[in-house]
Amino acid sequence: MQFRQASHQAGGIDRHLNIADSPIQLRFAGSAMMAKLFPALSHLETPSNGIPTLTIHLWDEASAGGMLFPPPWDELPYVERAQIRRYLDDRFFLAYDRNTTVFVGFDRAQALAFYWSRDAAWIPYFETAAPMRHLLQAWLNFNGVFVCHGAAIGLESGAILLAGRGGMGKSTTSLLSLQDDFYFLGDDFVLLSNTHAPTVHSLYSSAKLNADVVSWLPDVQPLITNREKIGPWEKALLFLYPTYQERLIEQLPIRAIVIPQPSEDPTPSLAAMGGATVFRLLAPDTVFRGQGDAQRTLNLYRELIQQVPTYRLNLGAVPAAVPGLLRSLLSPEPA
Amino acid sequence: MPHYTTDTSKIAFESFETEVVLVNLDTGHYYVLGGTAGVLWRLLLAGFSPDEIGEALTKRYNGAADEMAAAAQAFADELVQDALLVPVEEAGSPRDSSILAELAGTTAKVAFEPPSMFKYTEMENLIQMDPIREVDETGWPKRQRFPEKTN
Repeated sequence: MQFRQASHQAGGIDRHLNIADSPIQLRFAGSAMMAKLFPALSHLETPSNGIPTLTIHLWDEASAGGMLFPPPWDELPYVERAQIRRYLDDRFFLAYDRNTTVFVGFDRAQALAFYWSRDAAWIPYFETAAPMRHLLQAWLNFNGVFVCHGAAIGLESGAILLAGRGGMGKSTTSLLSLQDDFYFLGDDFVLLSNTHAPTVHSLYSSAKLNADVVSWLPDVQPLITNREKIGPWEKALLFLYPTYQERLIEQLPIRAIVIPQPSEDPTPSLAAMGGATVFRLLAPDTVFRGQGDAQRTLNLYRELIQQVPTYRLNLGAVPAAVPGLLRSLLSPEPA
Repeated sequence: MPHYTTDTSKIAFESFETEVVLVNLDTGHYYVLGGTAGVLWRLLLAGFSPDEIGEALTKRYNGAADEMAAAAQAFADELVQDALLVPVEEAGSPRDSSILAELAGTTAKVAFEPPSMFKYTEMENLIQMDPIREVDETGWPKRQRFPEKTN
């Protein structure tokens, strides 16, 4: 009801996306939310094609009206972890994120979701870089698709999943590779599935960079959208679509998992890394950052790591040499 | 005889090669169990008491049953302390005895190493935050403000 009123007041805008082979419809009430949330997802836009698997209503009170009142939390068996208060059962999902001031939820039976904020202007830049992550994660989990805290790049032969802790060089490596004509599927969050084979799917076409590495990436510098705000509390934010639309791909089979790490050796190098170590580095991080089912996430990572080779990437002091190393992992072996 | 189970709403775990990785969703801590720790975890979770475990371990390890039972009990106490296991009155039914079959199928015994558990806490700040307390007149939490560049 509130969304209908908001849409009537502010004007409705519909967009259709294909996310990990799931058609999803976004219905914005007014342009304020769309400006905040759509750029990072725009590369996945498709013409309307059939019935969406999920319709998401998005609006904010300040520009579109439609005040929502909080659910009766005291009557729900909710869980509160970090900055998120969450309720999840087989049908309903509700979550309030104090970091972003966003309230989301879905009803699986109706294939209907909402994303609401009191004011779109309050949505921080990191939510603009990775919009609706918690909502999409909870929804896609039911389809065997999981949000991974990682980057992914690739060639026609497949993708490399760049995983590991924050600040280890995933974003930088992914953008260096993009500059070297790799396909780009994400720099911070990507989707994983293993229904038929280990596959990485693109979710966002945004990228965030620390100020000290921007100079390594001259090709993408013109795409930075928040130049005047870059500093200790805000990374450079850029959107690769539509400039790099030829290098953005929806999905690729995973051929290797690579853990970038700083190294004292100036020469970048690759070394095989034990699957158990990779599992330890990768799985808990995704579990703690996400809203999906923790046990199923661990199961997926075990299956994934058992099926693809795993490596440590010593970044060295010559970043330009890194893509060539990664290319060697995806090149076909000589006959 | 004490028996144990785990609260799967808070604890998730997965075996990978020779390790078992556990995550505690309430604390943001994760644990790696290797060697005998992984074996003991499986046996405790399958519902076997430390005394039963001590007997079972004699099929694979050189050592006295009562000593290995004591090691199993001490390990269980450690797991309970970190809320990874919960004591229960009786073992669940039926008990998974596949690991007993694995132990019984051992061809050559090895020395029993006391179990060790590695605990990692570097991600706890992703989980442990103050719960939402302050709300305004609408019932929604007050806006979280982030530092901004001022020059």
